[in-house]
Amino acid sequence: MKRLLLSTVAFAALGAGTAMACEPDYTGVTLNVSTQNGPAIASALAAAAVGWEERTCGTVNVIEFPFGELYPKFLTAMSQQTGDFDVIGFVPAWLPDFSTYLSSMPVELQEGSNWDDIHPVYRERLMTWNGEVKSATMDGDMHMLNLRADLLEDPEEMAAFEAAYGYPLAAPVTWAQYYDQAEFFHRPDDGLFGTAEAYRRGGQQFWYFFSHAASYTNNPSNPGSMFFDPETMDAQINNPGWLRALEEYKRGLDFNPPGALNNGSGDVRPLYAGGTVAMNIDWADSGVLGSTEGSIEGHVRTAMLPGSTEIWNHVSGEWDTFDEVVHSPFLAFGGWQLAVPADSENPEAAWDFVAEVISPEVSGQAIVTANSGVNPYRFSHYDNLENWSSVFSEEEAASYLGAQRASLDAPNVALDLRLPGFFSYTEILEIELSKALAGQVTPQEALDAIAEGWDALTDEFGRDTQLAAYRASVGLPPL
Amino acid sequence: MMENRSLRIVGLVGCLVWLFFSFFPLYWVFVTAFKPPLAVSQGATYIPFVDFQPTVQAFRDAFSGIRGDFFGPIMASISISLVATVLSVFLGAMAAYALVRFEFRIRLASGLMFGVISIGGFVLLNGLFDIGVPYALLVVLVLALVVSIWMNRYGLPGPVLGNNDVTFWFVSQRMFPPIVSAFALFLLYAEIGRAGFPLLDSFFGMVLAYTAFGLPFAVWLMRDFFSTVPVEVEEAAQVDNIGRMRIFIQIVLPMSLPGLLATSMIVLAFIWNEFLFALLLTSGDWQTLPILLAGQQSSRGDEWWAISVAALIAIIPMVVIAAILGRMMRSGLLSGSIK
Repeated sequence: MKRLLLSTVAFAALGAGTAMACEPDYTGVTLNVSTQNGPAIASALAAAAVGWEERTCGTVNVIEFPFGELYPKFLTAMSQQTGDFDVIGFVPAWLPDFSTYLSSMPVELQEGSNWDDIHPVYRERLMTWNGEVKSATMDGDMHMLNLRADLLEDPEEMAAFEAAYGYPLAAPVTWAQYYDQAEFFHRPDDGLFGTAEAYRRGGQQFWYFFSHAASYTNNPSNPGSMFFDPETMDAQINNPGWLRALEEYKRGLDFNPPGALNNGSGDVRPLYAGGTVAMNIDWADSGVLGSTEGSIEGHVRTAMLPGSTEIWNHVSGEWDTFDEVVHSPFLAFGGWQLAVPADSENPEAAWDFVAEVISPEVSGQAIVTANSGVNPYRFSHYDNLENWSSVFSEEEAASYLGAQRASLDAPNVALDLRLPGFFSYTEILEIELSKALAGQVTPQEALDAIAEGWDALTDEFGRDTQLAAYRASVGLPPL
Repeated sequence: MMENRSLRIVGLVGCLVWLFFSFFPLYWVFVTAFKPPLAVSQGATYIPFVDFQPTVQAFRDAFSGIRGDFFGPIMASISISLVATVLSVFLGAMAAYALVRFEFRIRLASGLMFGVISIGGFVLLNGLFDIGVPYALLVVLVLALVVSIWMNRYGLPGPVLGNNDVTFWFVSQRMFPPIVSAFALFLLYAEIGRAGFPLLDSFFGMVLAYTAFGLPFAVWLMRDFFSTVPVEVEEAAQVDNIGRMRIFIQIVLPMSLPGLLATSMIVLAFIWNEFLFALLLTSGDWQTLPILLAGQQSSRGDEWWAISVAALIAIIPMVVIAAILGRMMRSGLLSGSIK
C-alpha cells in the first residue's frame, strides 16, 4: 500500500513537473533553424534555442550556410518542398521571392505589448508583404555615421575647423558638411584619414551608394520613387539625384585611406575602431567594435546619416528645395528576419520559437552580446541604456541608440530595395558602379547603363508583376 | 667546371624563388590565422611579435562552435570522401581495365535508341500516366538499357564507337559546368525523397553523387596505368585457368598499386574540395568542410582571420592523407611491384 502511495505521489509529481517544464509541450519535436554561418545571427539563434528547449522540451538544430549561398539554398529547398527547414533566417530583400513559400505569422503573435514594442518601420513595412505578415525582424539594421569624440570635442580641432570652414565642428548634418570634415581631418602624413566607406564590388558597396542616394532621391512628395517610378516601373537610377550621389560617393575616395577601392564593409569597421579614420559609414557594428576592441574606447559617437536641402523630383524633372535639412536615413540591408516555410512539418512550434527569439527579454540580451550581430529594433531596446553598460559608456550608449532611434523615426526614412530578382538588379548595379569608381566610364554613363539593364530586367520579369511587387514593397496600394 | 657550377647556382636560385612562391600563400594563411582584426585591416603585416601581437582568438572562436560546428563537417568530409574515393577508384579501375583489355563496339544507333526510349518513355509514363518521377525513371532506364544492348548485337546502320570513344564519353561527364548536373541531381534526390527514400542530406546520397563525380577521373587515369601492365602476366595466369576477376583483383590491381594510389589522391582531392554538390545536396547532418569554409565570409564582410583558421583546419586532413599515400608510393615494395 505504501509502495502504491509513493508511486502515485511520484507519478503525480513527475506529471506536474513535466507539465510545468513543457509549456507548450513540444517533446519529440526537432526544429531545423537555418541561417548564415555564425557568429552573427546564428549564435543569437543558438542562444535563444537554449531557453526555448528548456521551456518546451523541444529540440533546435541550428543549420548554417555561407551567406552568399543562403538565397539559392532556401529558394530551392522551399520551391521543391523538401521540408528541410522549419525556420529560416534571411534578409528583407529576399522576402518578395520567398513570400509564396512562407506561412503567415499567427494572428495571436500580431497583438499585445510584445508586438507593439517592435518599431513600426519593421512591424508594418519590412515584415509584411502584400498585406500579410510573413516574417519577424530579429535584427534592426541601418547605415549610420560613426564619429570620434576625441576629434569632434578637441578644442584645438574645433577652433581650427571653424576658422577654416566658417561654422562650428559638430556631427555633419548635410553631405557637404560630411565632406568638409573628411577633408579637414584627412592628414595622411599623420596616419589619419578623413573617412572610410566600402567601395569594393562584392563588399557591400552598393548599400553605401544607396545611403548617399537616399538623400537626393527619396522625395517625400513622391513616396516610393527612389529606385523606380511607381507608376511606370521605369528605372530612376540615372536621374540627376542619383548622379549627384555617385559623384559624391566617388569623391569620398580622395579622403579614404589608400587602396579604398578594395575595401568592403569588413575593412571599414576596424579602420574606424583602430583610429585610422576620423569617421566612417557603417552598420551598428563599428561603434561596438570601436568601444570594445578598438583604440577609441570611450570616444565612440554615432549620428544619423547626413541629409540634404535639395531632393530630385522625377515628376517635375527639377530639384525640390527645402528650408530645413531633410534626413533620409537609409535602412541598408534592413536587418535579419525569421520566417516559417509553408512546408515545415512543425509550423506551430516554429512560430513559437520565432516568438522566443524576438521576445523583448531574449532579444534585449542578444543586442548587448558580443558578436551576436543583433542590433536594436524594439522601443524597449532603445530605452534601456543600462543594458548597454557592458559595451558603451553612458554618453556612447545615448549617442548610439539615439542615432538609431532618430533614423527609424525620421519621417523620410528610406527603405532598401525589395523586389523579385533582387540579385539580378544588384549584379548589374555592381558591375557598372565598379567601372565608374575605377574611372573606366563616367558616372552618368554608368548610371545610364544600369538604368538600361534594370529596365530590360523589369521587362524580362514582367513589368506589371514587378510594378505590383515594387508598389507593395514601398507600401503603395495596387494601381 | 666553372660553367657547370654557375648553372647549378642559377638552378638553385630558381628553385628557391619557386619555393618562396609556393610556400608564401601557406605562410600567409598561417600567420593571418593568428592576427587580430586590426592587424589585418590596417595594412599588410608579416611577422608575428614584430608587426603584430599574435592571438589565438580566431582558433578559440572556431573550436568553441560560435563560427559553426567544425567537428561535424570534418567527420562528414572524411567519411564521405574516403568511401566515395574508394568506390570511384575501384569501379573506375574495373571500367578502365575493361577498356584496356576488351574491345567494345557500340553502334551509335543503339546509343540513340537508348536516348529515345529513356526520354520518350519518361515523358509517356510521367506525363500521360502520371507515374512518379523516380519510378518512371527506373522503369525507362532499365528498359532502355536492355533494349539498346540487345539491339547492339544486330547490324544497325551508322558509325560504330570504339574504346577511345567510350573513354572520352566518361571524361566528357566532367566537361560541362557542374551546376548542370548538380541541380538536376538535387531535383532527382528531392523526388526520390518524396517517394520515401531520402537521399538529400544523407551519407548514402552524398557517396552516390561523389562516386559518380570521381568516376571519370578514375577511368581516365587508371586506363593509362593498366596499359603499362604487361599482358603476358595475365596470359600466363589464364593458362593456369585463373578467372578474369581473380586476375584483375590478385594480379592487375597489386601491380598497379602506385597508379591506384595516385588516382586515389587526385580523386580524393577533388571530392574533398567539392562545393556545389555539397551545397545543394546537404543541410544539417552531412554538411561538408567546403561549405563551412565558404561560410566564414559572412554578411559582415571578409573576416580573414576566421577564414584562415578554417582553411588551415580544412587542409590538415588532406595533408595527412597525402603524406601517408605519398610514403606508400615511394616505398620500395610498391616501386618494385611493377617489375
